[in-house]
Amino acid sequence: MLNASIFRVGDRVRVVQCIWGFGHVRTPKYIQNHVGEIRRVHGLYHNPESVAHGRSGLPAKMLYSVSFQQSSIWKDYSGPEIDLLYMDVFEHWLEFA
Amino acid sequence: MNKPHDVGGSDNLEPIDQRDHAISDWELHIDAIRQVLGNNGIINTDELRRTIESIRPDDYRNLLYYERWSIAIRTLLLEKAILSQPEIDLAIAQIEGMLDA
Amino acid sequence: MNKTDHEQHSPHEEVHSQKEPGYYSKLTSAMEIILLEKGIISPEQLQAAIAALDKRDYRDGAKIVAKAWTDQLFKKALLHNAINTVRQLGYTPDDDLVQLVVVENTQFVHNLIVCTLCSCYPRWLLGRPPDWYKSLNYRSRAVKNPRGILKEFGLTLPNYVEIRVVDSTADIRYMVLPKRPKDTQNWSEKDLSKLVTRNSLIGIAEPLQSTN
Repeated sequence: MLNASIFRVGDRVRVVQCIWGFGHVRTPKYIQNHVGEIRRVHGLYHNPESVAHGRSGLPAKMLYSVSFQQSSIWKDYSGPEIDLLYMDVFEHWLEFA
Repeated sequence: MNKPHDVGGSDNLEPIDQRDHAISDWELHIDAIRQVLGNNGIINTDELRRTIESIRPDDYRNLLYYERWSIAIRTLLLEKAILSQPEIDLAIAQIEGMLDA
Repeated sequence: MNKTDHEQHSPHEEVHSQKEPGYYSKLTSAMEIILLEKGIISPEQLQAAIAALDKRDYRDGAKIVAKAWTDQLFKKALLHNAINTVRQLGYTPDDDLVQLVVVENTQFVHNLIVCTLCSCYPRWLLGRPPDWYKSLNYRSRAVKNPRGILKEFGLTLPNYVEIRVVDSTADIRYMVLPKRPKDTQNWSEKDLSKLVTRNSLIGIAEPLQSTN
């Protein structure tokens, strides 16, 4: 199953920007376009974007835990540089950075 | 773009209300209904999220948590033609009739 | 991603925030009555769901933490594959597709859980999430200013402690394994579990200390 994943732990990835704007997605606006690091490969999950419309959600998509530096997400982040944000992101929302 | 639920990072200057409120009967019931409809394969979590997210932004922000759920479940059940609006209206009228009696 | 249009609102669509508060109670009862009449849900199923929801609180999560504090092998298994580890103890999520990840708080790392998009929470272990967790306020600010929120809840962490905010955006549910309180070396699991508060399992607070 791990061979089916495009990204590996440690890879630098960018979250793509959503251009459609319609439909149910689970990638928040605030993280789109930001660069993070793959921390875990969770495995294959049904795609919520199509399950939300009563479809099966197959083919399943690879899901990753991605970490981001808070000071790079928020212009006025008041905490130290070491603070991180973790989020679960689907493979089709990621590209190599 | 109507994404009233996508609030991460929005400005919000109020301190957080740390109190718990005891769940009322109807709130417990709507939660249980959601659970059973899910177990019975009638609705799924992502469908419910979709209908919650389609609530008008003002309503989304002003309604309480379980109020949003009750509307979203109704929307979903209407969408799937499991219930009809006339059926719901009639049932509510009957309930109001009993309450007034 | 679908271009299905769910964002158009007709001018005739009812405005819900103007409804009187009792409306939702009546709407819920109405739907319940019709669903029962049509046999889409059964009275037994409904009663069982109500009983389960009412019964559950954070204590199952507290027991798991106490076990992890006293059993290193269990802790390792929990951090590596939480869903299977807790399943072996008899804890199964209501939804088969949901997974669990347990994140450990240490001297140098502090995790805080949020679901900015809705209210994802490991309900089968912790019961219902607190109202503040579901609030727009927490969902908006936790990702952007975790230290400010922790301070509001009474916890200030030094700058050498890395704060990790975990936004639960998919089918993974997160629970915090808080730091074991000092001076509890010979405590039983039962007594240790009493130190674990609901808020410490979310990361908004530390567990109770042994002196409490």
